[in-house]
Amino acid sequence: MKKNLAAGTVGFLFALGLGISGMTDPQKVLSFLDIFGKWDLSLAFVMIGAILVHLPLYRVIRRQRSLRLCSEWHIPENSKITPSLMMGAMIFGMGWGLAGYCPGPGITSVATLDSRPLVFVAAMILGMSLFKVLDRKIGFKR
Amino acid sequence: VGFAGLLVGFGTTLGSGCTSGHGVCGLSRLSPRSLIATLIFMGSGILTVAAVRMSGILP
Repeated sequence: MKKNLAAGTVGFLFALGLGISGMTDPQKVLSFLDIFGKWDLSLAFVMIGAILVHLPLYRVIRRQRSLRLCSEWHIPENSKITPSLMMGAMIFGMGWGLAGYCPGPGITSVATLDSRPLVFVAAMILGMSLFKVLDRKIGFKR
Repeated sequence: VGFAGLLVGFGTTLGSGCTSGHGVCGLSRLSPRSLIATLIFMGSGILTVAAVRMSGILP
């Protein structure tokens, strides 16, 4: 229960931040990526701002000896740069540049009940399932 | 949008992360994997927008 409450609160904050900062506006995202056209660099400050908060906070959080919600840490441990990582990032960037949505803002925009984010998220889930099926057959090295 | 969604879903699971996962959390942890991923998806996003513009769909 406490865990779900924490997850819900964090999700709410995340959505609020994405909405206020303009990350949920595909047109704004596409202008951010349009460096050869009418480049709008303002969204870079969303990422810079988020990193400025999380970078020091992460260090403070990691110093805690006893955890409140889990019995152990869940931190990504893989540090190898693999072809999967690079291919995945490339494919993701293409989708991002086509639609102007990445996963977080896409899911947040479902709340508008507009058809574009709905189709986007449905297709995204399909893409993830497609990967899971392929991964079971091929076994990508992540 | 449908095709873009497919690419995003497939790409983020294959590449184990998105703008928030690699770009914010990963970079804050100073993960080299995330730095590479962020540079690549930013680059491919920029190239995609440029390609769409050149194809004449965007004004």
